[in-house]
Amino acid sequence: VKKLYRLYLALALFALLAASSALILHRNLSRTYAASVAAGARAMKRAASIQHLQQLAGDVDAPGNDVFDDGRVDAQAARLEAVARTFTRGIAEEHRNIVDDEPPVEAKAMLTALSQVETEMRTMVAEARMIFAALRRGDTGEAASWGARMDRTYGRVRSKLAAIDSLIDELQEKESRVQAERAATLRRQYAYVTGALLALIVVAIALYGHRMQREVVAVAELQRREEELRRSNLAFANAMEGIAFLHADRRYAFVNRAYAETLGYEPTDLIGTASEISIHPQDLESMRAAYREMRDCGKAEIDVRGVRKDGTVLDTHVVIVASQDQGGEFLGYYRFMKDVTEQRRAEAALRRSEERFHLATRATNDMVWEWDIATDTCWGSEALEHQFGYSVSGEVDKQLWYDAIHPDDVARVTARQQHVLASGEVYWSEEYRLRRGDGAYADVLDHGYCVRDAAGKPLRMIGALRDVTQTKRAERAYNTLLLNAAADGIFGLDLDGRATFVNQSAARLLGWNGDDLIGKDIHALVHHHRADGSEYQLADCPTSAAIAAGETGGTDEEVFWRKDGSSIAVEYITTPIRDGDENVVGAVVTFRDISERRAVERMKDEFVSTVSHELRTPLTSIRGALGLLAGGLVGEISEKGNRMLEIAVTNTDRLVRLINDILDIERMESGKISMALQPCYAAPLMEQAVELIRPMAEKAEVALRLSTCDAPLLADPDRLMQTFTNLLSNAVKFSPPGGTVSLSATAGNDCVEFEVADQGRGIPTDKLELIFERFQQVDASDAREKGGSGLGLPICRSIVRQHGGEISVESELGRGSRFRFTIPRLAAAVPPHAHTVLVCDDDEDIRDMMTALLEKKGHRAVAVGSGSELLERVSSIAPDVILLDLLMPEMNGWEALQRLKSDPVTASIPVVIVSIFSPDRNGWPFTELAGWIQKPVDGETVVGSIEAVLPARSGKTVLLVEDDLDLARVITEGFASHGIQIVHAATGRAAIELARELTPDLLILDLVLPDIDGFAVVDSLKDRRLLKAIPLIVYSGSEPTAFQRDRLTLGPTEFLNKGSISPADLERLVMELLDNRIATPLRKRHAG
Amino acid sequence: MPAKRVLIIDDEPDIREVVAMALECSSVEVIAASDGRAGLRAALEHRPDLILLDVMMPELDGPSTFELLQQSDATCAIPVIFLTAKVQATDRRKLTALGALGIIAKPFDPMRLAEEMGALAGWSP
Repeated sequence: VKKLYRLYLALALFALLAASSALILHRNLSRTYAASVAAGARAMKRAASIQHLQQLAGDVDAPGNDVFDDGRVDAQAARLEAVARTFTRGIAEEHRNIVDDEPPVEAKAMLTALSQVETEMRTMVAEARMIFAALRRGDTGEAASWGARMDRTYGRVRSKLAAIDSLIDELQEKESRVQAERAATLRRQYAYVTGALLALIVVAIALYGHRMQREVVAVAELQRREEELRRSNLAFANAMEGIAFLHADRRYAFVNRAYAETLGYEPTDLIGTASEISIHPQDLESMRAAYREMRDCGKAEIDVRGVRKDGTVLDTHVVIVASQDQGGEFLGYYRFMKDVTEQRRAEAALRRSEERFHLATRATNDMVWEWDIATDTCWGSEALEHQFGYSVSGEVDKQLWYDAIHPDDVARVTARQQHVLASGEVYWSEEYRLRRGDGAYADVLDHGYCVRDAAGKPLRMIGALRDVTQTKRAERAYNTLLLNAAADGIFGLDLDGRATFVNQSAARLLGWNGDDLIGKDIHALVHHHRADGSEYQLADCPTSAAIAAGETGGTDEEVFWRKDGSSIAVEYITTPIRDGDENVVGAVVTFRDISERRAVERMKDEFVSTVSHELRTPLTSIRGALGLLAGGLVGEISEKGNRMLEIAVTNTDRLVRLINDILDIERMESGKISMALQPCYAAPLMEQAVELIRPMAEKAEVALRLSTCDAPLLADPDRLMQTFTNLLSNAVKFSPPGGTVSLSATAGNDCVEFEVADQGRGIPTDKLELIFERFQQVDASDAREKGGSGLGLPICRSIVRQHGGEISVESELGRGSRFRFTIPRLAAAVPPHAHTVLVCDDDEDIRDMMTALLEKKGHRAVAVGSGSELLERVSSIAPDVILLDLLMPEMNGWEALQRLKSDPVTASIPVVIVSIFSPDRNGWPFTELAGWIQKPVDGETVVGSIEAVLPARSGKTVLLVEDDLDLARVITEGFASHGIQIVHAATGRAAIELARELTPDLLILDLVLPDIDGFAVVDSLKDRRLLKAIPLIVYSGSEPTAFQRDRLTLGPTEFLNKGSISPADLERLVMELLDNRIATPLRKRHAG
Repeated sequence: MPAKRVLIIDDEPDIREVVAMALECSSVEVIAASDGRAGLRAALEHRPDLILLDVMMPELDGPSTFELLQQSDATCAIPVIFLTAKVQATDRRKLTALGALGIIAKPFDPMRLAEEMGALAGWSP
């Protein structure tokens, strides 16, 4: 470093020197330059002075010459004198200047030349004077000769001056040369010095940089070593493991913190103490043995108990390592100590846990298993051996498990397990049969728990498999006991309808030995014919439906056949049996013998019928006889006698009503009478009912008010009338004179609500519930006073309920009562002929509007909100026409259209564009388009466009032959929206006439007509060429025989039963026939 | 207009008598028969203008008697009105479907019997 400083000092001095010389040189150069500039300026000044002198010389010469021209001798003479003086001063000044400025050598030459000029000038002045003198004398000749002389002198003056001038030039040139040389020399010197300086700087920097780098590296290395040293010390001191260094005499030389803390000391406490204080006395001997081993082998390891400062004992693991110097001299040893108390405890716990687990599995007989999914290896507890009789346990092949599952169960079991693994569930549980080591099958219940990693990937499944054979067996035995104890017959059926189980009651009722029925086709054995002797097709059997469709079914109107060929009336119900995955695996049939019930019912019917006849017959006679008496036909009777007769007649009538009502309600509630439901309108029935009641109302001075509604109903018109008249007559009976009774109807969505309101005395709250019960008149005296049977309201309720409606009453004492009941409307389902229209528009409002519009017009509308949704769903919706918006985000209408048209499945669906754009003037650009509607849309345009695209039906004529005017009205109305003209004929003759006149496209024919029947109508039409092939729908109340069918056929002919076909079905059939697309016989579909 | 002749077929003598008395007051000639067989014979013998036929009778009941009347050329043109205690609408429909002219429910008002009957048969009052 010192040497370097010297070098740096030398360099610095050298640099200083160089810089000074450069400065000096620079100054010299500057001086030289200044001198050169000064010399230049001097030369210029001299040249200017000489020129001035030349001019002055010219001025001195001028008067001598000018006088010859102007002759003014005196003036010129004076001028000469002045000029001469000026010139003399100029010469003197120049002389001074030269002496002052020029270098002496050159100055001398110049001064010599200048004095010559001066001399010549005097001569010239003298000669000028001579001129003037001569002129004054008038001697021009002489003046002229003097003039010539003066001119010569002037020439000399000039030349002398020129000589000075050239001297000056020479001098300047010389000076310039000298200075240029000096400057060049200086420049060279300057370059050398600067170069040397630069070189010095470079050298210095290079030297210094190199040196600096070495210095920095050296320092860093030093620091690193220091850090390392520090760290290793720290590591040692702060090591987690306890480390100590002991002298050869086993005293602590050093302990780190961990070591000391493990033993409950401060490190300083231990240093210098004997190591024995930290070792359990009982382990000292083994510690010494380890020490000896260390001395022999250099290292020893031992587990000993340590003792803490506070006397507590800990388990330690100790490693001791000998430390020797280079000469092999033993210096001491390192003692590494680890507290293993916790570890030992955990190990012990694990051992206990394993033992417990082992004992537990033995105790429960569960086979505990583990399945490592990644490696597909399995482990099974030893229950596999002692419980299931296998000769292996522990690691087992998974295939063993698969092979052991009953073949009928294996698919289910593995599928469910896979499902659990795949679905992210964790619990799996399954019951199945597992083959034991001895080949017998055990019923097992297997539970598994799936362990998954953080990502949900299944890693392992751990579970327990329990042998439940005994439990199962007991359960089955118990179930069998239960089933056998049941009084009802019970069959278990498999999917083929074969018996898998038959309880004792079933066997007994059917006269079979139960075991003989197992595996038999039960339908073929006991259900083969109906009670009327007709064959019972399996397809119609509710039990086969239960198995096939998973629906519960049954009836109480069939018979089962016994082994001996006799039959028993049964009530049975079939319930599907489902497995855990809701798959139908069979069915259970529960049945009971209802022969007795049937017999009782029959007896009751006969009794009722008999009573009806037997009671009425004498009543008829009584009523007749009384009537004749009261009519005075058999002679005069006293006034009192007449009164008595009146009483007798009134009460006979009452008795008759009572009997009628009792019979009515009895038969209705026993289900003997079913409602003859048919489409009808409420209004005419209400009008008729009011008319019927009117005489009675007039008599009671009660006003009747009617408010109808025009909804079509599905009802039995006779029964509905009965309900109206019952309620109305009640209302009239309980109305005070001058009161009003009203009958009104309100159409709801599904039903029509009727209301009969009076202004009578009302019904007490506690009676409101009762009045619909039999013989529950509000006041016991009512029966007598009002002549009611006490059965009117129960009958009303029965009728309403059989229609599927409800009846209720509201009343206010003293203000009146309101009876309300509902009757279902004729189902106004989506018309069967409807077309499906798919609306694609991104604007929800427009979608809603279009959908509502189309549905109102009887079409089925499905709306989608984007082109992609359209393409996605179009196949499943299978629309008849697509209404497509153009401006939609993502996929616009054109794109969607192209995709539709490029797919052969959808290419043929007509597409109508609905857009705010108008189509091109030349028509729409795509020939594939079926239409174009410009937004905003109106209903007529949309429906018009759609109907233009769809197969045409309008303009067709259907002749409807039906004498029931209400029904005709219902049907006609149904077709009104299709543009189909319905012509109605109420009689057979009218039908024939109209058919000939109109040649309808289709004929709907009722068979029973007032004049000639349907057969006659068909016979007549068959003769006509144009009519004999028209489609015909025979729509009648009775099922025609095969012969009648033959007779009734025209073109494509369908037979519909009024009782089982709704007007909507009829509509659909008509549409299909008109569209020539009849495919399946509808009648068959609805017959069941 | 000649007096109408009506055959009443009913197994109940009281009813036969009441009918006879009620109708005779309206100047209708009444022939009575106590069962279906007797009724058929009487119909053939007397060729009545109308038959009132009870429905529930032992042996040959009303509908069967009606069938037999229809089968015979001599009697098939005679209009028949059923007299019945069965008042259910379905029963009524069944009877109408057989082709009878009409139904009069029992018990009837004897004073209005002739009137009702005439209305069904289309006789001028």
